[in-house]
This record gives sequence, structure tokens and C-alpha cells, in this order.
Amino acid sequence: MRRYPWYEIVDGDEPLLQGDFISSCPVIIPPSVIQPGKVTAEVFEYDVVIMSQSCDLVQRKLDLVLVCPLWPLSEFEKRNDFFKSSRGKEALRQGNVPGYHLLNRSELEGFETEYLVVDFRNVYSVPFDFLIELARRKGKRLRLLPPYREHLSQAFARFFMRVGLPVDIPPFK
Amino acid sequence: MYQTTRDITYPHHLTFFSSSPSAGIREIDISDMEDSSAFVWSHNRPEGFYRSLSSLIETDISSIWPRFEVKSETFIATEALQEALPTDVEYDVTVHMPPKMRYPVELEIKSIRRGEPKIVVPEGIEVGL
Repeated sequence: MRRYPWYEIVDGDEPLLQGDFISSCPVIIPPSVIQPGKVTAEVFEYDVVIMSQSCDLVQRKLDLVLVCPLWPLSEFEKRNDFFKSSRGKEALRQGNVPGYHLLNRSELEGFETEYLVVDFRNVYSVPFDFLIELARRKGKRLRLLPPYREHLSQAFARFFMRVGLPVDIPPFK
Repeated sequence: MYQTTRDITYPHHLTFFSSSPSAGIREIDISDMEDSSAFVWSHNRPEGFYRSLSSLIETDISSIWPRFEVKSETFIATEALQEALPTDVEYDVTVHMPPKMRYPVELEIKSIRRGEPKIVVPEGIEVGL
């Protein structure tokens, strides 16, 4: 039986693709008022996964790259009791928790991870050139492989395209 | 007059139907839908629904009217009910995760200007005069 690995390790200077993991990616949170001169801003650091489409990245059709934070499942369990239960984890695994997507563990040497949760509710755009340089400086990185990459992308699309109706048709009882 | 099987009564048999011979179409529709939904539910109920509940209750089938009683007050009913629930339900859960690290930085804003559109022409489309 063929093996379909979830991840591979790529060099830092490899072109960025959808599904690449970037650790400790800084995101600048601007102050509420911006005016010329010195201002104080906050920097949030997240481990992120690239969500922009690979073809757009390869052809440099973007100035900003879309990234989503990702977290070890154990961190989610600490924050929310729902994910402590096997029901919660199973719902996550089956894709029944909109806004979150579960990725498998990595057992690649030097890049071992536990199960990871991608957070679609907090997306950030990072300048492409900045991200290329950051990835190069950080060296080898983990890359999510097809078809798991496309599965992630589809889950994001499903989350984003949801429509909540203000007045729904009442259920037929 | 709309006649349904429920309007027919048999001697020595109790009828459990609520609609009367004079029931209007709307009432008939409602009761038909109720029957239908009960039928659909009884046929499509989640696998193991009764199996999960059976651990909760004591049954006495020696008489024509079964007796149902909770076996133990200390039994955690919610767990059994959770098992009986369907698994393909969407859960609207939001978790507010703090960033891995946060720190302030001093920035110097050199200029403020309005953004301009960056148009990406799809491949295969020639932009000519």
C-alpha cells in the first residue's frame, strides 16, 4: 500500500507554498491612531500556516500572503473544555467545528509535533518579501503535502463561505 | 368529505387517533405529517439510540404495559445521551487563543498615502490597444 505522508521538510530558501509552516511569525498590531512620527505598536507572534494559493505565490501575484495561526491541540484543550472531551476532538477531526481544522501529528525527525489546530477565525496578511526573508532566516521548515493541503484549503473555503440568514425558514415539524 | 383510515373504527379496538370524521384538510395534513415524521424518525433514528437508553432504564415486560424506571440515580445520564446523539452536528465553538508572544515596538511612520489598486492580469488575456 502506498504511503501518503502528511508532511515533508523543505529548505528555508525554497519558494513559499500553501501549507508551509512558519514559526514565530510576527504580526504588527497598529495603534488606533496613526500619524507621522513615532508610535508604539504591539507585535504578536504566532506559529502560522500559509493559506494563499501556491500558484499565486509562485507567480508572485500577491503583495501580501494570507496566514492562519496554528496551535497544538493540547493548548486548545487547556483553553476550552469542549476540546477536552472525545466528542469535541472527534467533531474537530470530522470537520464539524467551523473555524478550526485539525492537522495530523508530524513524526519527522527534528520537526515532531502533536496534533495541530488551524484557526481560521484569525487570519493575517504578511508582506510577501518579509515572509520570504523570515522563512530563509529560520531555515528548514515543515510543509503540508497534498491532498492534506487542499483539504485544509477547502475547510477554509467552507468556513468563509458560510451564510447566516437573518430570517430562516421555520423547520417543518 | 376527505376520508382517511383513521376515521374508521373497529369494535373491541381502541383508536389512538385524534382527528375526527369532521376534521378539515388542514388538521388531516397536520396529523398526517406528525405520523409521517414519527414514522421517519422511528426508521431513521440513530443507530444505538435505544441501546444507549436501555442501560438507563429497568424494564418489566411481564405485563402489557411495560414499566420504565431509572436504574440508578447516580448514573450519569448525560454521557449516555451524548452517545445517542448524532455525530455530524456542527459545533459553533470559539476559542480565543493569546499570541505565542507579544511585545511593544516603536515605529516611525514616515508617510501616509492612499493605497492604489494592483491589477493582476490573468494569464492568456492580452491587454492591447
